[in-house]
Amino acid sequence: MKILTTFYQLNYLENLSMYVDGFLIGNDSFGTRLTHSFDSDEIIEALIMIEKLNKELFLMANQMFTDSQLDDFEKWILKLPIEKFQGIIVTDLGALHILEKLGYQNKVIYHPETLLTNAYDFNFLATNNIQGAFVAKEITLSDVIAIGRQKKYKMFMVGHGHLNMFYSKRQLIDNFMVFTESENPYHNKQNMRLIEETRKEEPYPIFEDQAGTHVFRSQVSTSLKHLEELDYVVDYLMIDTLFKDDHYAQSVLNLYHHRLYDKHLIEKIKTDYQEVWDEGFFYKKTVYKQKG
Amino acid sequence: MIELLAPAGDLEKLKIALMYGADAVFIGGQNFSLRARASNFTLEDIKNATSFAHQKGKKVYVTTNIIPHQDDLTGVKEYLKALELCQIDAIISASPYIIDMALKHTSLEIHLSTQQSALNSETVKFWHNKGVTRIVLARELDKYQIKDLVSKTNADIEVFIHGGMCMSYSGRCSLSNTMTDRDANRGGCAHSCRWNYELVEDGKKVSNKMFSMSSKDLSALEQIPYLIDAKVFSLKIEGRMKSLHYIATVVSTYRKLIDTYIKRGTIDDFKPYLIELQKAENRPASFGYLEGIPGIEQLLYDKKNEQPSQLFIGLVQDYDEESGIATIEQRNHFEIGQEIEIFNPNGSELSFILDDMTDEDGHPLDVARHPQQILKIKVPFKVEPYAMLRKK
Repeated sequence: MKILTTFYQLNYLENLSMYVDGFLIGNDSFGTRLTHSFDSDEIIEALIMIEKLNKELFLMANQMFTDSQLDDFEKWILKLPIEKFQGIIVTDLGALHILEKLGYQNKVIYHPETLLTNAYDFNFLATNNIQGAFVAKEITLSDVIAIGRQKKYKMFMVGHGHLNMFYSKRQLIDNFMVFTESENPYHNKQNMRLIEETRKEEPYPIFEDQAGTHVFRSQVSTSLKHLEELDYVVDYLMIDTLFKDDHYAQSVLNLYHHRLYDKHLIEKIKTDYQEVWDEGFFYKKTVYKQKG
Repeated sequence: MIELLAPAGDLEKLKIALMYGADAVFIGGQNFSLRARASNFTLEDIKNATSFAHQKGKKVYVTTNIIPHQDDLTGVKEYLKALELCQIDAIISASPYIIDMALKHTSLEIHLSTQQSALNSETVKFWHNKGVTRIVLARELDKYQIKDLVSKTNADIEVFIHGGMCMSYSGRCSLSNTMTDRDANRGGCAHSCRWNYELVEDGKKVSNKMFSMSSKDLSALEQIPYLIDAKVFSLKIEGRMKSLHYIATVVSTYRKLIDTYIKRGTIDDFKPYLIELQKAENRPASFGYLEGIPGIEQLLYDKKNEQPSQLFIGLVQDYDEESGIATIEQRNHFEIGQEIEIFNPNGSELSFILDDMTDEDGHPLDVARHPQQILKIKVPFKVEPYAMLRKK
């Protein structure tokens, strides 16, 4: 199982490269929920650096697209040396069609967030010869393993970070600031939280970017205790450092790289970043058809 | 001719929707369907529903739109075959597994659920090439994008015109899963987006006002002519859990609007239609994304409570032409001396002052107090079964 991470600054790549097999990068015209929006020149610079480090680079193009956005996406892709990327992460099937048309279907990693919750659906693009797909975050560890045992292409999984649980096209923070008759200095800011009136102990990170508004789980989901089991089925485990920084990435990647479930180090990270860790949905079976 | 598609939470609502002008209805079965709290149909109910609809030359679509987990896959094939035996007209699905099972083992027509959030012509092409006949578009498109998209595909395109709005892209939200363990993609959505929140920066409140992720409902009255001209195939009203009166009023209003536009090629004034819709609405409404990305005018701040309409007071069961007595079922409080409007399935409305009312056994009454009580009232003109009584 390879480890991938997001990052904030190009000058941190070398430090992080000691612990990972690859990186994720994107621009906010086509990617969303990014640690940082890198322009095309920076993306090419990252490619050169990562090639020298003998690591892999994945391009995040995980927005939902209208037709005109797809046209822009195609133009952007044509300007980038796509063959040098290990893969392109897409959420929208329209983006898959564009990449197929350009002959890059083997670069596609399909990441529809919530939708790939069983083995059949996980594999449904096998005949399109894509490289792989992200299994949904909202399923149990045993379901992940069951799906992984039947996979027909590479399995990707978000292994660590604040899992996103809401993606709206609306600029909801901006709307709210209009409502309060104030300016909006909070667009693209990573220090914003939502507090539900009966769950005050669980602040949910909220992030407004060009693609819309996103809300995330309060806790950091970790898979650190389950790396051995995941090894058998997961090809790429993604560490998402959104809302943190590159120092955080380094601390966490150290644990994952060395497979250290070191309580002292974990507690230090939790204290330094004021975060709570849990295991996401690994042991939390959601209810089918709750009767109200 | 463009299709008007309505929701139906049970057999009675299905009949009302079709009688008041829907060309087709969508219903949920007891398996593999979202909206778990709607009174979902048994296979026997579905058979009765299709039989009723087909007699009227209308259609029934069944939602099989959950995103299944590993252990939900059992029984899909058998259920789809059973639906086929019920002679339904299509299924509405989002999961590739359910879609492929239907394509492989049945001859059912398949509509792609909005849970897949189809936003562009390439995505529409993908599913159409797979064998999906109709695509229900994501709600996040404006009317110009919809028109452009329709022109680029041979697939039938269905567009939401009325009802509740998901604040997130449909199918991509797990707020409910996280906050309540109820799986939004398997029929358990707790509508966590409609709760009250505070927005904070570094732990400090940004405002004393409550942050909202709650949207006004969609109401696309003024966009209907554009969507008809754009050659959209089907116009969908949402709300399988809505009341009988809501379904009748909303369906009837859009029916009249569509028919008028098709006949005359123009709508002079939308106001009468809006007034009619307001008799059913219990939430403020707007046009969603149809005129562009929604702003503050489409959000509900500080307006949490829904007030059910009190206008609907009775449902006509029968009318005796000789005596002029209508047998009705009470749905809300009313009394002698009130002006009452009769709202007929053909959309016509006539009023009268109530001056004579008895219970089922002929005892005179001044006030109708008891829900679902059978009453007899004098009506000075002919009324049809399933006509509705409203307070004026």
